[in-house]
Amino acid sequence: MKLHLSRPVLSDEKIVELFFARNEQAIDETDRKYKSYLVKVAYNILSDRDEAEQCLDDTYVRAWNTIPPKRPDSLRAYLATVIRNCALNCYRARSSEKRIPSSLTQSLDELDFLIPDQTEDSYDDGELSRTLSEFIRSLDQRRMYIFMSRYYLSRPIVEIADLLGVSRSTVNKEIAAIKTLLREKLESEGFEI
Amino acid sequence: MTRNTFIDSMSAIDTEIVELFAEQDAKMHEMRSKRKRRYTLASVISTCACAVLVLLVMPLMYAIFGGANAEAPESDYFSNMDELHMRLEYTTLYSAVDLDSALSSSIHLSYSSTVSSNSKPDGIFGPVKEDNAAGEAENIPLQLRISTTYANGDNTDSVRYYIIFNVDDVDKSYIAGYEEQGLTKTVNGVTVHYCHLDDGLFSSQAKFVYDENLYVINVDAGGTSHNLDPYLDVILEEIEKGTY
Repeated sequence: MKLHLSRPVLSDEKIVELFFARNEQAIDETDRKYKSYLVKVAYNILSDRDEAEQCLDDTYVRAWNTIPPKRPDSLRAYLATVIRNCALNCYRARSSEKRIPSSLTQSLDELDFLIPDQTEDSYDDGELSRTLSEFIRSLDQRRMYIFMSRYYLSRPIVEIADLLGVSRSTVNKEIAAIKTLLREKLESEGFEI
Repeated sequence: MTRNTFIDSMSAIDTEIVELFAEQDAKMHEMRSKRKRRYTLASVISTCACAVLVLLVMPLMYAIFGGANAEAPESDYFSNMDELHMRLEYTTLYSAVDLDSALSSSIHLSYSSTVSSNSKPDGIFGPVKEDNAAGEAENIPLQLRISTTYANGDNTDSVRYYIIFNVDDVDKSYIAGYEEQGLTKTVNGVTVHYCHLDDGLFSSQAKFVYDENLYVINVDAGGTSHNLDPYLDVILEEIEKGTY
């Protein structure tokens, strides 16, 4: 009887080298290493497994088409950004028809006090992005992780708690504190709340 | 500010932050995996430790207590008094209990046995004996309980008849209290102690020793007064007959 031992996953650098060598194994290795992570990112936004898988395929195609020339410093971050954008496009298309009960919707509901106005506004996205970047940098490591998990990757509270090894109520308390700080930051920068 | 503005702004935050977060996230996933592995390992170790403890302690417990449930009584239910008396191989005073007019009844005998319950052939068990000259397995009766209910006007009396067979083990200090209060009567040489409890439930109790067994009769009357006598007298009449 033969024993089939699973191969160790390749490092990000080696996977990027495979992309540069136009070796299709790059997709296989990416899939082996990041599939479940990326599907979760899309699923948190869409709450639909099939659409999340579709976004995963689109992400692989985009990675194949953009690497090279692009050489991402962090393959994980790059792929997460690509699949997030893809999932957000699906989300917008679907949410124009109906409310999507996803983790993204829940996380946005939490920020209702910041974004109550449903009409278009005159804020510059770039200005808000800069303010948000400054705000995130000002947070300590743990709060930064919670903020990014919740509002960038739209992770459910329970998953964040599991990753941090703390209770859900601890995460909820941290989120409440973060929201207060965010409100203060936005007000101090002249954003109308 | 709209939700789309916020989403777009979050998408456009510094790449450096996203990369820093991705790095932190990878570490968190790794730490969670380690925690889970540790937890799994700890669970396995705990389970093994418990198993070893049980294996070590069980023989000790067996040695101290003579085996699990070695002293726990066995019990049987009977559908009528004849069946019970056949099992006991003698007749008790409770042959006078009127089960026919009872609204409900159950007859329950518990006994200790040196015969393993596993060795009972198809649930058929031999007579309960107090002695066994042949040195065979013994079945020693411990307690008989006959639970009955009878109509009492619009209400119901709950009557429980007991026999405690190992009467030597019974604490007899209660007798002095009964005798001091004159709650005794003697019927055909048998002293009966009885009492009526003022507990609002009209509960009564009678006790007497007959043929080396302690008889106890509890009556919870459903009406507005105690109602021990009708049930007790039937049994005492059996003593007066003196046929046992």
